[in-house]
Amino acid sequence: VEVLDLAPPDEELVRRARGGDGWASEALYRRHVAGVMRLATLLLRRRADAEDAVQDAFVTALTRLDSLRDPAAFGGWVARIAANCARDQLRKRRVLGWLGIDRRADDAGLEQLAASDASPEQRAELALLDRALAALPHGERVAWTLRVVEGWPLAEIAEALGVSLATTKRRIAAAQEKLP
Amino acid sequence: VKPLPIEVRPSEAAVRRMWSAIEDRLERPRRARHGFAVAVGAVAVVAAVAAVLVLVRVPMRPTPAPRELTLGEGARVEVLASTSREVTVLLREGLARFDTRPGRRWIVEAGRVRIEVIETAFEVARDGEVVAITVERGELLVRSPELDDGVRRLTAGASLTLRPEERAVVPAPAPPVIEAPPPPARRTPRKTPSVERILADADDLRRAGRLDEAVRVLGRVDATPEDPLAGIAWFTRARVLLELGRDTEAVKDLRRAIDAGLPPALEARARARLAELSP
Repeated sequence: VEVLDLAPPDEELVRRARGGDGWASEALYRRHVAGVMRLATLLLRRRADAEDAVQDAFVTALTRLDSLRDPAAFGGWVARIAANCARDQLRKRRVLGWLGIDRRADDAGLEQLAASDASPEQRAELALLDRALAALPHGERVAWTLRVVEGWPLAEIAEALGVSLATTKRRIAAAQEKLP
Repeated sequence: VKPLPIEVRPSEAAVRRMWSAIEDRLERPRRARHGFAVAVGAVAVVAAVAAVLVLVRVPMRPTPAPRELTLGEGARVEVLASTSREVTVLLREGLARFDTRPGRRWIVEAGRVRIEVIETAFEVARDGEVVAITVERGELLVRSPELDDGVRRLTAGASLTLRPEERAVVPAPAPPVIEAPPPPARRTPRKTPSVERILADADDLRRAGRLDEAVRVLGRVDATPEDPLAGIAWFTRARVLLELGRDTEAVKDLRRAIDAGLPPALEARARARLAELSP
């Protein structure tokens, strides 16, 4: 019952995971997987792709723990890695789309993710926003989602997407103009 | 911008599936280092076995597969995930005996206790939050917040009993004893569920992401206010309500938790949370 409250903080888990404690690695994963999954799903709009991105992100994070300067910031760090993984997936998807071999449909757009207690009006708004988002270029959609839906600082978005601050701002502004 | 009314919560099965894949990928580089030596060894073993079969003509008879899991009377076990490489089961109550084979990893969840094994024979008995483990052969890892450092390695002949709110009791290694299944009288249903049972059920619901149901189940503690775990149940309910964004109700439950009595660390936490939430 008290496990959640007495759980060691991220700093402690990172320290133990660096020392090879498998339990600590799993504890870090379990603590942050929901947030990372939400992020990956919002960016990729497909559940299977989101699961792949989550796996890639945690494998990268857990094998590079030594490069994490502030162990208390593990959650934000793994989320930025996940956003980066999602960006890579979207690039591959674009190439596959050009070649005409990506025929899978999105199964996790905003409309499909509507909360069980969302009202019909809210669902209609989500559907409208979802259609508009689906029509955006990946770069604009990801930047806008990270900024507006997830509330990330601009600098973190730029870092996660590997673009300049100016490009980040431009993409968000461009997306904002096209959305309802 | 107001939050979007969406829900993205991975199921427990998805969380486990992803972790299993992550663990595999984390272990792959380690395995690769020994890959060449293992490959050479494997080729040598296969060649030797083939030679024996050809020269001696050993009759190939199928050997009966041993039973990996045997349940005592009234025991309840739920298989949470099963693949050719890993099985995860939840022991809800009663006695279960495991006799696992190599190559397949078993994880046994029993409330606050988690047992990890590769190849061993052992028994687990669960009565509410009390879990007793006895190892016949091999060795296993027991993980629980009740243990120092959260983990203990048990070897053949050892036994371990875990109870909530107290440290683990580890008697000296003793010969393994297969206890008889618990008598039926122990399983007589109670009219009012104990707070221990309420907490266990709510914990299952929380892990399944069914937070609203967990809140409802935890509310049953109202019927047993004298139970020593009542304070913890109210505190847990307050936490779930906070997760759901129902802060006003959470404040009430935090006050109830303090009134019902909490361990000092939890009480300090409850008071701190109340101070944050109070206007």
